[in-house]
Amino acid sequence: MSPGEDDWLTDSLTILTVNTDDAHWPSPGELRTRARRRRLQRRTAVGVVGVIVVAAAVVLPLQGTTQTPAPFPNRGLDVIGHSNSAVELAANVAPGARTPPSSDYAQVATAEEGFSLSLLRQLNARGNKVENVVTSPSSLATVLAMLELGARGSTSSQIAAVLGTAQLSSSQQAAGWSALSADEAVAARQTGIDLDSADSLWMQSGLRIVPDFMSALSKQFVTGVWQVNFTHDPAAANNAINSWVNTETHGLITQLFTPGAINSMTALVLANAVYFKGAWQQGFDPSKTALQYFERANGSKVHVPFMSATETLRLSPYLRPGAKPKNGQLNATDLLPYRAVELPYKGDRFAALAIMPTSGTLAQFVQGLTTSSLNRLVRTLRMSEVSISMPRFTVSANDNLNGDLEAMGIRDAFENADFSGISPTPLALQQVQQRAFVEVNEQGTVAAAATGGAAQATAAPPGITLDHPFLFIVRDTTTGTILFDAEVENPSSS
Amino acid sequence: MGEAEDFDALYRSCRDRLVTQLVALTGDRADAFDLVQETFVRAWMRWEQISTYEDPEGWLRRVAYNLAVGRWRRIRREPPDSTVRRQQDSLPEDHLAVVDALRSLPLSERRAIVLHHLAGLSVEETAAEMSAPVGTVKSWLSRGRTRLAIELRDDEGVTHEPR
Repeated sequence: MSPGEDDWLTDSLTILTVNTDDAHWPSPGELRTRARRRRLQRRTAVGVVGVIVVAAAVVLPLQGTTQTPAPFPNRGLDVIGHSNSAVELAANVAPGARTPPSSDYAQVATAEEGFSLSLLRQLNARGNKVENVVTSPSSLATVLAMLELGARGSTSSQIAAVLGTAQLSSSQQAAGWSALSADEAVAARQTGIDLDSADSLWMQSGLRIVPDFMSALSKQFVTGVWQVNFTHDPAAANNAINSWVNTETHGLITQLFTPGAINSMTALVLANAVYFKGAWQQGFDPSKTALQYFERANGSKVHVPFMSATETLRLSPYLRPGAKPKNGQLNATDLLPYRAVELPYKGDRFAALAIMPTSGTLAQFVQGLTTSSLNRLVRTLRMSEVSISMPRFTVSANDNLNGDLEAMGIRDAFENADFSGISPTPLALQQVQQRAFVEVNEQGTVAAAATGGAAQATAAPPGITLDHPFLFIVRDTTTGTILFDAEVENPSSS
Repeated sequence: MGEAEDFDALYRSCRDRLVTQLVALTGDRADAFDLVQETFVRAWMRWEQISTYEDPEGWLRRVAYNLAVGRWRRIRREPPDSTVRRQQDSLPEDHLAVVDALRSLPLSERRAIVLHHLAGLSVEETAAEMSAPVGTVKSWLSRGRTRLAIELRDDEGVTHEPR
């Protein structure tokens, strides 16, 4: 067959031929400049770059149940692309209507905040932590919500209980997540924030998938579906997943599963990737960044670059509400046991909240943090001119969260699973993996006045220096949802 | 020739062909220009490697296609009000008829048609580029041609008998 056999078609298509001159195009030099700028931006990201990938792999419990791979056994799916050995399919349904904020949306947003903090407490409780912790609760919650759509019985109810959405049906919950992520995506775009979230389902070629599950995923999570051959070539499947992660995280995360993590028993992988890049509302001046000591929880000190600035920010007061000096003296109990400051990103919808305990350890503070105590803390923040100094840092993690989720109450999914809403083939959750990377940088100087531990009730201008372990939370200030959180124990390590 | 000169020569010789193929794929001329520019930006970022390729245009074509599909996915994720098709005021009516006919095809058929009939790849080369079996590509081409014949006949009153 050659194009010549269908000259009528080639002729019809030539009408689309574009013939331009240089005036229609940027010069090649301009393109090269753009490329150079892009490379530079990647090295010196503004504000915060956060990238999180979560994947939940589901395994076939019995090797013998593996079906003979067949190309496209599921109805209602179109082939839309190929990547090496992987075939991309799309459910033949339109994405669901993104409804405006509803009660489901509000309940899911509240649940997300609660889940975020309980996950943080769980990660914190792993042991005597002196290392950084970073996670994206919203990313993990999205993967769990996708799994819950196909879970039944106690497998489903345990996931719902951990997510805090037991009062919602799976479809209400999916609609809530869908509306929440759409709302945040629109808000991010309108405010110049890069917030890309992508979901994908990787399935064993030949595995039968329940059509309703596929439709629901496509409608609510707009999930791309890839067919791979875990059974016969798990390494190629692993490469295909890593390649997807690399693309969706703009090259910042190149590997989600290490070689061997995906094996011939794997039947299904659900993955979610979040990429966030925001510029501070008021930046730090890089020429004012200077080395300063940061004291870790174990008392050792590290010398790291601190960014400094004087800005108008929301800052926590020194005193507890209602505290009054007696005879001109303050008691220790009159002081709030933390310093907190909110740094808004451009557009004001998203903000970073940095909280540094001034009494007790960060681990103790995190263990006592709940939705209501966090909201109370946020309500006490007051706008004022602040001299701020904080370390530039990069934190990253590659965590298997199986044990954490089991500790939080998701048990049956791993050992006694009912995922009959996903496939008639018996499946069990094999692993939940999260890879995270958060980079905070930006310029500043003006060495800060007060150190974090010292309370100066009448210091003017008020200052905050984050030179002890602190909690760094990237929040949606409208809904309270937590996109990323990091316990910064050592800003010199990543 | 130096690196920059090689890049410039490739840019000037390929950009119109790529934009034509992307207009056929995406139906959006402005998008097509954006995608081609972005493709060349990425090419320069990896030029040390790409300049050694036997067929750098093939690399550009694949990257441009992946970018187009990525953009298409993002649009699908957005709420309906932002997925309204951009006004095609820069395309004349007869172009629009062809674009609309192509848009009626599934993406795999559309891509096969574009690669075979616009980029001039053989069926085997099209199959290799799409990582699909030759037989599958033949069937996509056949179904695509049949559908286009119907669509274009309806639009233009022209009869094309598919073979």
